[in-house]
Parts: sequence; structure tokens; C-alpha cells
Amino acid sequence: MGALAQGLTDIGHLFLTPKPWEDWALFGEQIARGVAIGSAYALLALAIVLVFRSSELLNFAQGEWGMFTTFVAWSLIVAGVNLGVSFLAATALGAALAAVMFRLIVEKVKETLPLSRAAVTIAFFLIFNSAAVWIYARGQLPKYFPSPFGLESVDFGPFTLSRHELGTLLVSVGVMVLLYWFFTRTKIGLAMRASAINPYASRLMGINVGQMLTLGWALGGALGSAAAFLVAPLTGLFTAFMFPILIYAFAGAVVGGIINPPGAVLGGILIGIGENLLGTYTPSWLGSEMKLPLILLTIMAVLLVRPTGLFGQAEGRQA
Amino acid sequence: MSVLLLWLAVAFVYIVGAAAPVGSRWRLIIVSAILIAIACAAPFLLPVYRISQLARFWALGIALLGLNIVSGYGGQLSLGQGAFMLMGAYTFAVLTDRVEQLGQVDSHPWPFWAALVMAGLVACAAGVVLGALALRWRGVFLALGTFSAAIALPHILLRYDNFSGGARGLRFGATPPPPFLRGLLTQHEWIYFLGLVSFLVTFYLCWNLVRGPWGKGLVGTRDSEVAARAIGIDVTRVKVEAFALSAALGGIAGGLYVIPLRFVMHETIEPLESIYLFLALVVGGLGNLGAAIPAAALLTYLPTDLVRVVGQMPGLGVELVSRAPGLIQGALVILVLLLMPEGVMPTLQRLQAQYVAISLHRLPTAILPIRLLSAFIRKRMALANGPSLGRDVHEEVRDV
Repeated sequence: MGALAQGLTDIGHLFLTPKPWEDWALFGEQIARGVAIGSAYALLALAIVLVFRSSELLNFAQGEWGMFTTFVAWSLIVAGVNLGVSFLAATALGAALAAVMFRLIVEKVKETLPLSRAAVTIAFFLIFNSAAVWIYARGQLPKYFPSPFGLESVDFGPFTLSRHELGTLLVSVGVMVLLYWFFTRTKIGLAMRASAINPYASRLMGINVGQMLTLGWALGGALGSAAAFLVAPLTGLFTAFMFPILIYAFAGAVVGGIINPPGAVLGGILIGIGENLLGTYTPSWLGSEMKLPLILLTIMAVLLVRPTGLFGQAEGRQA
Repeated sequence: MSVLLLWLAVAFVYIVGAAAPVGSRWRLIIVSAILIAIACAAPFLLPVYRISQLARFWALGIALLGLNIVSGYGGQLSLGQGAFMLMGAYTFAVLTDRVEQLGQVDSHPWPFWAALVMAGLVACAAGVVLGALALRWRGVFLALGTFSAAIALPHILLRYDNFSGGARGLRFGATPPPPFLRGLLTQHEWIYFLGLVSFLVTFYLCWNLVRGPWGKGLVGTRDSEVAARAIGIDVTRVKVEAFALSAALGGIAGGLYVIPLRFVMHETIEPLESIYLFLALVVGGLGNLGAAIPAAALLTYLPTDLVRVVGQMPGLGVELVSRAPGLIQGALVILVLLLMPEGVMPTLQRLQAQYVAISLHRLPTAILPIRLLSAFIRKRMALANGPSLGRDVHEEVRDV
């Protein structure tokens, strides 16, 4: 019996180091952390879903717009502006940026080929990435980005979270509740949903569909900026910091079913948890470099079982 | 400068060649012959670094031909072509030679052609797997699934470094020309011609393929799976075959891509490169075999020469160009998409068609020889058929 138990422990060592059943507090803490950081991914995933629903395209520039506005916020903070004010300024700038880019350029490009508009967003990705390098990538990188909530840890009994993680969670949940209220209780929100579902009927009802699309992009831009602002204190501020986050958010949105906002929130949080657990428990023979591939392989597996995401609609409505 | 002249010559021949007053079959043969002649003359007119650049251009062209099969003709959005290229590149590097790699030098290196074939086969096997997985995915889900492969592969190569060399990458020896060409061609010229011949062969095969029954089945599958199934096309098989073919071409292209570099590492082809390949193909014109040329030109010249040229315009500094090339690249891509929404190649073909359609005597003197020739033919025909007043030149050209 002893040999068998020893063997089982050895196998456990092979797959998981450290073992979660030996330290449940650590396990719980990693899950809580995952939920907190995942809520920031969920914001970006929501932005992607909003844009996808209004224009049926993946916005590759979403992360870089957030990165750019966070740099602007950083220069405001360095100039002595209050953190809360700079947060609002960054989200407003993100919204304006997205709306202007949509109105001026994305809308003008004819969708004669599938994805020529998605190609435009990839071009935006390049442009804003380069603009940030040009303007801000001087001196030491990554820049220190202060957290609006502080980085001290808060004790929750069995585990601890940093104040920043707690604040991220609260802000994200607040934003989501606000969005929920906006999309279910206000006239504009309902009009936006209507024009996403059926633009022709909405036009007949007197809804200005073009305006609603622009508003969707603006909301997406604001959400992306908020997500970047919340993530920056954890990763540090440099020009590539939003790229992995964008991948996680894409994954979250797609796992959630791409047209389903609550699904995107859940997807984002699941990705956050998965990222944290894999980061902690990846066995040594895999190594922490394999975190991203493992998450992606998991997503591929999920998509194999459910090809339209965990919370997506059945085939037939749209891809 | 001379590179620009060569490209202008290519564009000129391509567009104006359509107006050549001969039958369409001969026109095709003549125009392709002139274009191939220009391509063959290019390495003897250009400086060395331009030759290596063009060698990579042909490799990218092959990868784009493959991507066009699966995405353009098959309608399957694949953002994983870069991964297949990277696979091919590593296969090639491992098989040909390892110079001072991991303290061992492969004493029996494979010949380059066998390594290239193997690169294609390895990528093809991966393509079958990804194609089979992709059967379940559509639209954005397919995009994310294939892009996942492109992101994951460099990480995997970095982690399992006992064959990939990890972060240091793999070095391998030069690929010398075969004995019968030694003395005729320099090393750079040989690699250029290897790329050129591979591209031309691939292009010819793809061209036959997309015009044949298999290609028609693929396009039918893209346009309506239900209809394709109804007329007896094995949709599943066609889709997986398209993925496999595209991956195999990607693998061969990856091998060709790293031959002039003599070095491969996980960053040689970044995950974003897969997106760039797709983006370039959209700009070139999806579902148009010739799109590989403008798309490969975009990928080759945009990050280097075009950015430098734009940077020399008044108001823009050298600093902008060196620090933020993406600004100019992105702006150029948006400009092209605004001006030519269906892509570069279809626009060129429309220009071509217009050249045939508009009456030739209104053309500028640039095509004076053709004008003279058509006037000559007109006279001969007038003599043969009696007076044919009021007939337009272009009608006669069409008749001929």
C-alpha cells in the first residue's frame, strides 16, 4: 500500500506542482485573483462583443486603443492630475477615438471582401502601436503605473487579495451593472440592441442606425480604455502590454459565444481563473512559458465540443 | 531605384500587354514570357541585398498562394499560415545542417530539396490536423482557433529547446548551388532562382488546380455548402484537402524563407506575421491567384522601402520612420483599402480590361508601338476586306 501511495504522489508531482489539495488557501487565493483580473479581461471582451454585434467584425485595435489612452492617462498623472480624473479622461478619450475612427474610416471602407474592415482595424493596431512607441517609448520601460486603489494586501481570512485586485473587481462589476441597466432600461440602449438585431426594422421604427453603431464603437472604446487602465498597474506600462490581454479577451469573447455579453463576461472571468491556475500549478516539465499555449489549447478544445462557444447560439443564425 | 524601374516595367507589361493585338491564348503566353524574362533578368541588374530580398519575396509568394487556396477560394479564414511557415523553417533547419548547435554537427545533412519536401510534408501533416479541427469552426471561431496555433507554436518551440535550440535558435550552413550550376550563378543568384522556380511551379500547379474540378468544388463549397453537397462534392474532404495543401505550401515557403537567412528562431516568423499574411492577401485581392504578387510585394517592401520613401516626404522626419514604421504601414493599408476596395489585383485587371476596351488611338504615346502595329493591321484588313469606314480600332483588335 505504501508503495502505491508513493507512486500516486509521484504521479501527482509529475502533473501538478505544487499540489492544490495540500494548500487549499493558495488554491482559493488563485481563484479569487483570477476572478479579479478576469473581470478586467471581461471588460475588454465586452468591448469586443459590442463592436462585433454592431458591425460584425473583430476589432483588433481594441487593445492598442486602450494602451494608447493609458499612456495619455499616465502623462496626465505625471503632470499631477488626480487618478480618478485621469481615469475618466482616458475612458472618454477611448470612446472619442473609437467613434471618430469608425465614422471617418471604418464606415467608409466598403466590405467588398470578407474582412476588409477587419483589415482596417489591424491597420489601426499598427498605427496606434507605432504612435505610442513614437510618442511615449522614451526613457525607461515599462513605466510604473500607479494603482488608484493602492497595492497593499487585504486579508480575507484564508487568503489575501491586493487592494488593486479588489478595486478592479468592484469597478468592473459596477461598469457591468451600469451596462446591464443601460441596455435593458434606457431607450438608447434598447435602440442599440434593436439596430444590432435587425437594422432594417429599426430604421423603419425611426432609429438612427448609423448613430447607434457609432455609439456601440464609442462604448467599446471606453470599455477597452477602462480595462487597460485597470490592468496597467499589474503589468507595468509599455507599448506591448495589451497584446496578451487582447488575446485573452478575444478568447473570453469567443468562448462566451461572441454575440452574448453575459457570456463574454463569464468567458473573460474563466480565462482569468484559468490563467492564474495554470500560472501556479503548471508542472515543471511544462514550465511557465507554456501558460499561453495551454490556455489556447484549452480554448481550442472547448470550441471543438461547442463550436459556437460555451454560451453561443446554435448554428444557423450567424457565424 | 532600379528595383522600382523593374516593378514599373512589370506593371506596364501586365496592363498594356492585354492590348496586344493577338489572340487571348497568345497574349497570355507572350505576357507571361516577358514577365518571366524580367524576373530572370532581375538578379543580374540588382545589388546583392535586393536579390536576397526578392528571394524572400518568392517564398512569401508561395505562402500566400497556399493561403489564397484555403481562404480565398475555400472561404475559410485561416490566421495560422505563419505557424506552418515556422514549422517548415524549423524542419528545414534541423534536417539540412546544424552548425555548432548543441555541440553536435549533423554528419549526414539532407540535401536541400529533400529537406524542402520534408518541410512541406511536416506542415502538411499539421495542416490535416488543423483542417480536421477547423471543420467544426466557422467565421470568428475559425479565426481564433487557427490564430491560437500561430501564437502557441513559438512558445512551444521556445520551451522544448532540445531540438529547436530554444531562444538561441538554429543556425545552418549555406545551401550551395548544385554542381551543374556552380560557376554560372553566385550563391545569392542561385537562391533567388530557387525561389523563382519554386514559385512559378507552384503558381502553375495552383492555377491548374483552381480551374479544374477540384477548384470548382472548393469554390462551390465556399459559396454554398448545401448546394455543393447536393451535387456530390465531398465537402469535408475538400475542406481538409484545402487546409493540407495550404499548409504544405506554407511549409515549403518557410524553408525557402530561411535559406537566405541561414538561421531560424522562434521570432523569425512571429504570430502577428500570420495576420499580416492575411491582411496582405486582402489588400492583394482574395480569391485571385495573381494576388500573391502584390501581397508579397506589400509584405516585402512595406516595412522597409515604402516606409523610407514616405519618410522622405516633406513634413515627416527620419525619426518617425525609424521609430514608428507601423504608422506609415497602417496608413498605407487603409489608403489602399479606401481606394481599391476589392484589392489591388482585381483593380489592375479592370485597368487591363479598360485598356482593351478604350479605343487605342486615344492612348498616350507610351504604347506607340502597339498603335503602329494595330494601324498596320487595320490597313491590311482594309485592303483585304474592302473599305471598312466607321469601324473603331478596338473592334478590329477584338476581331483579331
